Amino acid sequence: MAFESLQPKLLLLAAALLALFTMAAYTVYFERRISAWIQNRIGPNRVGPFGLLQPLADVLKLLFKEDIAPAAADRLLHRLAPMISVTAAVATIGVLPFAHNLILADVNIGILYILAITSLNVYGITLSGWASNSKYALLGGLRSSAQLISYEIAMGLAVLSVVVQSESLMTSQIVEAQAEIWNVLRNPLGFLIFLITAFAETNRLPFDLPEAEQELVAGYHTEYSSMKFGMFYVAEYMNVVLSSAVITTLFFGGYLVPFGHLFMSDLPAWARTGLEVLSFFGKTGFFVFVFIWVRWTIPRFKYNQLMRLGWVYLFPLAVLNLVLVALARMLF
Amino acid sequence: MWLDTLALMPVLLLVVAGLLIIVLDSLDNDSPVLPWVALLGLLGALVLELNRLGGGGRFLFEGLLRVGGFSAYVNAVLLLGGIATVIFCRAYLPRIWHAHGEVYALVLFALVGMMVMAASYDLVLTFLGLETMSVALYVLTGLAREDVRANEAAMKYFLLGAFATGFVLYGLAFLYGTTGTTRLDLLPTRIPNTPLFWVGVGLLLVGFLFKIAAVPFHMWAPDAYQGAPTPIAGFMATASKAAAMSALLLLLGHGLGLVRPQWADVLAVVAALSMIVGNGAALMQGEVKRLLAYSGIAHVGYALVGIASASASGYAGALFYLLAYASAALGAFGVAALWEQRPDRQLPAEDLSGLGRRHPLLGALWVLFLLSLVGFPPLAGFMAKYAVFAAAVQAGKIWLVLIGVITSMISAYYYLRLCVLIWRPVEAHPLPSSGQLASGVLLLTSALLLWLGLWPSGVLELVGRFFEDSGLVLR
Amino acid sequence: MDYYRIAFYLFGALTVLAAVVVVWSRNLIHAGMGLLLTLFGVAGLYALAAADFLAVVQILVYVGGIVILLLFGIMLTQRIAGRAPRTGVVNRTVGALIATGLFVLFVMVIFSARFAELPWIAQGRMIDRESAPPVGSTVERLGQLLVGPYLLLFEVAALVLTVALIGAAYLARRSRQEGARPRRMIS
Repeated sequence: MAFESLQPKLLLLAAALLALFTMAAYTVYFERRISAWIQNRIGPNRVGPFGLLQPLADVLKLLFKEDIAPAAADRLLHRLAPMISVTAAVATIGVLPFAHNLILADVNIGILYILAITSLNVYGITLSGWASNSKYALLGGLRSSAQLISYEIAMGLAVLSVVVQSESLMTSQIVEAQAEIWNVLRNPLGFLIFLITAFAETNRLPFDLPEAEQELVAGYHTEYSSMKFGMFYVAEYMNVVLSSAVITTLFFGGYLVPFGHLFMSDLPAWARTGLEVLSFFGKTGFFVFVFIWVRWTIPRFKYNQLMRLGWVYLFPLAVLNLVLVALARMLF
Repeated sequence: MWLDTLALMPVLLLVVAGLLIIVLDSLDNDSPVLPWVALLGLLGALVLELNRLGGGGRFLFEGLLRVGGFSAYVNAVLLLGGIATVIFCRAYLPRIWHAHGEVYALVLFALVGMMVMAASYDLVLTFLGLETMSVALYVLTGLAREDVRANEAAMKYFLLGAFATGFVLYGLAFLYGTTGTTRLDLLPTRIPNTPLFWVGVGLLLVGFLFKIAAVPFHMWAPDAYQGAPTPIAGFMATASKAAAMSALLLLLGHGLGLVRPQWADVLAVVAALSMIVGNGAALMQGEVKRLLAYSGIAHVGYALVGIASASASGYAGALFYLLAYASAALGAFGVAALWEQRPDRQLPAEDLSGLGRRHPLLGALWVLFLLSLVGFPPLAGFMAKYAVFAAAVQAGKIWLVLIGVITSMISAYYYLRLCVLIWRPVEAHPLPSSGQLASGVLLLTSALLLWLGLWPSGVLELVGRFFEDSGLVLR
Repeated sequence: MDYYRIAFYLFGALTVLAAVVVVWSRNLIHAGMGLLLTLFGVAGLYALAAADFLAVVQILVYVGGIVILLLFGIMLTQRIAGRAPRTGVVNRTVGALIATGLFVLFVMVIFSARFAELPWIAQGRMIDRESAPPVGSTVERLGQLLVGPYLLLFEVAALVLTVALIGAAYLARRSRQEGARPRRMIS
């Protein structure tokens, strides 16, 4: 393959990465503002207009902090863990369709790729817990791996029900198959299951037991400082953004513009693409908001409740949903 | 496709019964109904298999496996073992506080794996059957979780078994890489002229020989049998060996039937080693289950003599041997299970003293089973040994027969010692557990031994019909 | 050298080197990480062989599931008990002898195999590249085969997993009223 033919893809990659990092950084800012709003406070408003430069200041501060590793830590894994977290998060953007024909790699097994890459996420957390050689971190890491594995199953089954409906594993075709009606309307139970598991997979409240501060100080990243801690932080918010993007793709028509068929065909190509990108990021942004909203509204589960919810309720429900969707597909 | 599925009814019956047991067990934990569910499934499957015993085999699923004939016969042997195991488990397990419902489900699932192996004409399916059987047996071996010996047995069996599985898979990969197929019916026409293929066959053989506990892959068997609950040990010694042996027979006799000289001598050596080492080591055993384990190793050697003859009569003899050995060994393990009373689940030979005086019938049956294992004339063991030895003589392997006869005579020493021991004038403890069903099974197996010994022609003719004269194709 | 070849050798080297780490590392966690990389490398090789579905499933099942459970088990049993997870080597000479012997044997027979001349591969090569259907996604064909001719294999594989699940649940569950001393409840 010649390098020239790769150029547009590389441009797109750069743009997507930039967008992802910016969104992750500003999700942090919005989380603080929204939480303040929910709690009747003001939130960060000093750096720049409305505090908009706050993420920049945070990053600068982290960069100047001392990088500490515990004396008895496993140095190699301690350093590797945050990198794995970020890599696993970033790699997902490869198969997300931002607009019609605007996708980095429209592979045949796109949705499986997302599942596979998300499952790598757990390594960063588990290894950081182990490598820190601290009981809080270890417990956090163990909790997290148990949680991620448990919820991955229900998540996979929910995704499978979507695959049954769209008859394809390609992310672009899954989006196109929703041209008439969004999957959330055809498969509301699947959406609900996916949403819940997405909260669990991103370790967000009400499922943030891996870093439950009352019990575990900060969980798996207790022993991290400076930019290594920053990487975990960024990875967490990137995961929030990406989960929102995946929810959008699977259940809310991805880049499809609502009622787009009424007026889209009259527009020039660039405007159509622009609108689609806007639609994609708009929907994603909404779900990022939902993530934050839920975090500051719902209290944390106990660990046994978490496992019970995952295995006793969500898992059978997901199986049932899959069977129902398949039946519906067969009959109608 | 649906008709093919219907033809698998015996296997399906066991699967359904197993799942039913798991569900019932979750509703009413360790309910006494569970062994009956298992028995019902097993009897149904046995009736279905016996029903198509006489007819020729029929390929299902585009040649993936074959039911009737050969597989019906082996499956009947397996189901016999399964029925006896379930009945002995029902009498034995409550006594060691392990009458769990899972046991019966696992026995049924293990049987499903075995039956699939005996019918399979595709090595991938054979492998899956082997794994189903093995995984269930690993767990059953370690049934007494609180006992260190059981843990050791299960761990040993599991690790070595996993290793053997690796060998099978590696061999399978080589086989597929050089022939482009895993189907036994396609294999004969595709045997390539490359050492890689034969290394693959060798690796496969290692895996199978491990499962039937043939020397030099037998180390695990005595420890595993000693740690496992006694009825389960009997199950492992009979059914799992019969299944792996029939899969081996299908691979060698059918898939590699055209190149018999290449493997016959290897098997002959393995058979000789098994007979020598098995009987030799059995001489020195003081614990009955260990002794029976070594005796089982030796008997695998005798059965392998039939396969090593690489002729129709040899294969038929091996099949007959499987039934004869299974009946006798099931009976012996069954008596051991009923008589065993120590909390550490051991049965030293001395514990048998006085059994015959206290329970003359049980003693007589015990003697009958052991005599059949020796190969005493009017019993099944004799006819079986005669069948395989005659085939070996025809194939020109006189030395193998000599070793077989000599080791049989040596084996008489330790079997007869056990026979004599039980009539000692010692005050013995009462039978710790019994049951009319268990006694019924013992009577049935002994009747089978007598019948096979006195009128063997029917069964011998039946098993002979599974093979063409060339010994290649199974009907 | 084309990209394909470079990628092949990269993944191959990754697989082998990581496997060496698995065997040689005395730190169990490092060995587990080595296993992770090995499986990853194998997934890469699958992808290069146009088996896209297999590659992703390899990552999903092995990397995302099995290795993490393995690490989980190591951490739960070893570190919490206060001992560092280390492994030792026993039976050095015998093990080394058998391993080297098998390795030499395998290498010899594999290199002497001349795969291109094997009948089934030679036949496959004779197929006209132009007229042959293009190698597209393997997903659909795999799916149809799995619920078609290979349905039975698929079901038996499911049975293996069921049995393993039942067995694991039995061995791991809390004892109720089994013969010997009931274990103390750990809460």
